[in-house]
Amino acid sequence: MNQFNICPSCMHCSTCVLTAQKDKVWSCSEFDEIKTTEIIVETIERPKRSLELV
Amino acid sequence: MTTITAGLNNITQEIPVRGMMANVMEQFNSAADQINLHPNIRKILSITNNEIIVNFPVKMDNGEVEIFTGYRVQHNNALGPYKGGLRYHPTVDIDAARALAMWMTWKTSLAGLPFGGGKGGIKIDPSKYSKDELERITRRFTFALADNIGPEHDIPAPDVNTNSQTMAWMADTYMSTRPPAERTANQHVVTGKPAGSGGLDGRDRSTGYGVYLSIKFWAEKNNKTLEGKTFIIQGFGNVGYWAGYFLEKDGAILVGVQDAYGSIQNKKGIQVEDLFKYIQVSDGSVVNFPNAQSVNKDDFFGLDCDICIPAALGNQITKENAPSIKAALIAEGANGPINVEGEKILLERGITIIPDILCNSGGVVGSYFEWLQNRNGELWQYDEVMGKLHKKIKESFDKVYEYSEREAMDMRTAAYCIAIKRIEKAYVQRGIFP
Repeated sequence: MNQFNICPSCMHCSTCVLTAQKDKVWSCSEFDEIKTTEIIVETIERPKRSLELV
Repeated sequence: MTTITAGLNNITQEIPVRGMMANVMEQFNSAADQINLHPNIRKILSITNNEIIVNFPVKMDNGEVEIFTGYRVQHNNALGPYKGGLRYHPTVDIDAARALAMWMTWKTSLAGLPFGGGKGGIKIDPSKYSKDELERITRRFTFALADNIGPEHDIPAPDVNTNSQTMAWMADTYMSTRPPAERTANQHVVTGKPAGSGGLDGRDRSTGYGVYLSIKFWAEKNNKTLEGKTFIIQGFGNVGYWAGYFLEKDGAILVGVQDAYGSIQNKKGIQVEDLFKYIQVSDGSVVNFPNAQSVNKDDFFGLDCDICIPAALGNQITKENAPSIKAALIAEGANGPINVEGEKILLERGITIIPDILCNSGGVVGSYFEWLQNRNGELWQYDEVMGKLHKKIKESFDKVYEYSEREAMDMRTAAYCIAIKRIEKAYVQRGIFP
C-alpha cells in the first residue's frame, strides 16, 4: 500500500536523528527537499513542420 | 482496514495494513461514541464529499510533453468552503489525501472557522523539474481543477514542497480564467501567498504564536506564570523557532533543542535569537552551538524542564520515552507527535497534553485572516493580526479546557468532541436536502 512518506526525498534522510521510522513520516518541520544541483535541459532536434492546405 | 493479499507458496494470506485513513477514522469514531453522535451524521462524516483526480499534460523544457496526476479531496463543507493544503510529492495518493482532508475538517471546526476540510496535491518529485517546469505544472494543475476550487468553494494552501510562490502562481492562473471585471475579486482562491501579493503580515509566525498562546493560557488556568519556566523544543523550524521566541519574551527559558542534525542543552538557558542566528551560518544545524552541550538523541525528551514542545514530526513520544519525560506540560506543535501508547502513559502520570488540532491551529487561523483580508479588500496591520489571533486561539482554548474539566476527559478527546459537535449542530439546524 502506498503510504505518505516524505523522508526519502528529504536531504537529511541519511543523517537525521529525529526518527528511526523513516517510512511513516508525512509531515516534518525539518523537511528540506533534495535539490538537483543542475537541471539538464535536453535539446531535441525536431523535424521542421510546415502547414499544408489540402 | 486495508488488506494486502500476498501469495506464499500458493497459500494466500491476508495481511492487515493500518493506513492513515484507519487512524483518522479511529479518532473520529472514538469521539463520536463519546458524544453519542447521530448515526446519520456519522454516516455523512465517515465519507468524503468529493474526490477529484485530474490527469493533465505539461510541456517540459526539452519540448517533450509529460502527463501528471493531481488530486483534490473535499471531505466536508457543512461549515464553509473546503480548506487545506496542496503537496507535491511522489507518495501523494487518494487514501492519504482523504485522511488529511478529514483531519482538516476537525481542525477548522475546532478553531471556530467558517471552513470545511480538504487536501490534495500532485504525484511528483519536484526536485526533478526546473522552476519554469514547476510553474507550468502548477498553472496547468490549477486550470485542470477549474471550478472545483474557488474563493467561496475550496481554498488550497501551501504544504510539503509547495510555498508562497506556488500559491502566487495558482492565484494568478485562477484569476486569469475569470472574466476581466471579476479577476481581482478572486485573489482569496488560495492562502499562504507572498506578502506583496495578498499575503498576510505575520502569517509566518502564526502557528508558533498559537503554540505559545496555548501554553500561556494553560499556565493562566493553573495560576502559573511563564517567568522562569524551562522548556525544550524538538524541531527548530518555523513553528519551533517562533514558539521559542514568544515564550522567551514572556520570561521562559529554553534549555534544550533537537533538530535533524543533533541535540543540545544548557540548563542555564539558550538564547533563542542567538541560536537562530547561529543556524543561519551552520547549514541550518543546532549542533556545536557555542553556549550549549551536546545530548544523546535518545535522552532528549528526558531532559529536565517544565514544558516540552515536540514541533517536528509524528510518533516521537512513545511507550519507550514517555516514562522518562519530566515536563508537566506537552504542547503539540507538530501533527501527531505522541502515539497512542505514549499518550496513555503520559495521562496516567498526570502530564497535560495540549493536542495538535488546538495547539498548532494558529496556522489555519492565519490563513482565515488572509482570506478575510482579501475578501474584504483590506490590508491588515501586524498588531491587528496578532490581536485577532490571540482572541481566536483563546476562544478555542477556553472551550476545550472547560469541556475537558466538565466532562473529566483529556484535552484531545474534548477537542474532537467539540469539533464534531459543531458540525453535527450545522446539519441538525439545516437538515438534509431535499
